[in-house]
Amino acid sequence: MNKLLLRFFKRFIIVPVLVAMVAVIAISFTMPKIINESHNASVVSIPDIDMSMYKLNEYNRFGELNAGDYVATITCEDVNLSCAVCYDSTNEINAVGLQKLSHEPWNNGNVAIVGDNITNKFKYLHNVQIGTELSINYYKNAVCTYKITNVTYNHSINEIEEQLKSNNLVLCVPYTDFESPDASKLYTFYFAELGGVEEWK
Amino acid sequence: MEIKLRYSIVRFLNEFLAFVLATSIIVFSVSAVLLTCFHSEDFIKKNLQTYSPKTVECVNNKLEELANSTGFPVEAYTSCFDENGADLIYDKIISNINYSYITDFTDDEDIYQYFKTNLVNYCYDNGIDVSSQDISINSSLAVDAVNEVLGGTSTARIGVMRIMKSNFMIALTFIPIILIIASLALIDTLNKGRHRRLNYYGMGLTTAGAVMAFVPAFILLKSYISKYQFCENIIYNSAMIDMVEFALKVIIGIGCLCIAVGFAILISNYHYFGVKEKEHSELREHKLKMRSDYMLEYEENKAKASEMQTEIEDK
Repeated sequence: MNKLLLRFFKRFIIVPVLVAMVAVIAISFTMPKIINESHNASVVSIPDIDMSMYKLNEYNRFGELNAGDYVATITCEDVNLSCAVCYDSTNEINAVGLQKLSHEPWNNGNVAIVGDNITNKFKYLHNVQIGTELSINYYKNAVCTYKITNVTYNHSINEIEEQLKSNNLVLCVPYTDFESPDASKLYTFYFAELGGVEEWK
Repeated sequence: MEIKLRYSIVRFLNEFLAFVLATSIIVFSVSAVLLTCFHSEDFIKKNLQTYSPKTVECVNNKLEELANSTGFPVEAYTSCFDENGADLIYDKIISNINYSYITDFTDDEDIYQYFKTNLVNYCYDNGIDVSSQDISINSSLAVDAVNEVLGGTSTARIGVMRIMKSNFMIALTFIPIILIIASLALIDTLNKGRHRRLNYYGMGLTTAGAVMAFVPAFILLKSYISKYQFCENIIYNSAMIDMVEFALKVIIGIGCLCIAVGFAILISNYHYFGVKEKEHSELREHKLKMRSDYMLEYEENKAKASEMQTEIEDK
């Protein structure tokens, strides 16, 4: 093979193919890692609650708390739900609100919590099924487990008090009532019964 | 020795610049293709529309679930959301995908009116007696269902889109242009405008072409993109996979084009130097022949002169 042809092959075949092969090998090593990271990043995982964001006050009765105080953390692994619960507050960015009408489960009371499904608060709550278990870790009081018993729609906020008489836990998710003259909301109610009360850890 | 060293340095510099040229072509082509594809809202919408049946199915499944709970006629709910409804939703989310915003349909009047109109029409056509308040409440609930299925943070989590909108991506498109021009000019200067500069242009183009053709082909072959998770929403994720795979196919096309252009340059140069070498060897042969003819003639003359000298001496 003459020198000229050898140079032609070097420039047209050997160098480009070698460089492409190096790139392919690099890709074959890095891509699986990138794919794994993408699964970790985009699959919704249970977020960690940053307790330093909340006003922490010890309590025995909900009535001892001020509006916005941290009450508990609600967790449901089945639907990747983990959210802080603050007292009498629906405006917290990273928390759902415990309704004033609620009473402590360790005093045989029932609890109502309101949270929207726009942000990550109750975003995936709609995925719960009848029988799905969730737990509420009441700050320095108790860890209660609940089981979803029913889901109903098209309620007004005034119906919570009535529903609290016969249900251990009512989770309320608002949605827009487009025909409402006073821009009030309609609610989806998720009812749950108390499964057990454990000591706070 | 000094000439040889200088020649080696110049050759090394030429090859280095050919690699700079190749890298710049790759970076420019890839970023230009990605920017062109992902900045186009029509392109995003077209890819989303491929999944209209899937969107309709997901929303209808949710509506069916709601209808079973609320007691509202299931058919009324499921028949009122079709591919036009999916299109309406896509129109709302395209800019959210494009700018990585969270999607919130909670107060979307258009979707509400879409459901309300279709529910009213369905009930009227099928003689179902439902109050306007019921229609209104269930249309509101349907909007919430759409929000649950298609709203949320998914549209904000597509990292590719955030990169496309960054200054880094714009720099990645324009800086290589400067590098391409600079490397072309430097190769030309190093070779003093001589024909052999084309060898390095050709090598740069072919190398860039090979990388752009083989690497995306390998990625597609190994289905890396379809395994990648852009966001948690299955519909948006599938559309993004299609978009990236399309971009990779375009890059393969550009790679093949670069290989073809690089090959044309190298083969024409090979031909040019082949002809030149042939001319050189002919000239060399001609010179050698002239020299040997001269030497022959010289020897003959020398012999003749020697003979004449002998004759003179004999006399």
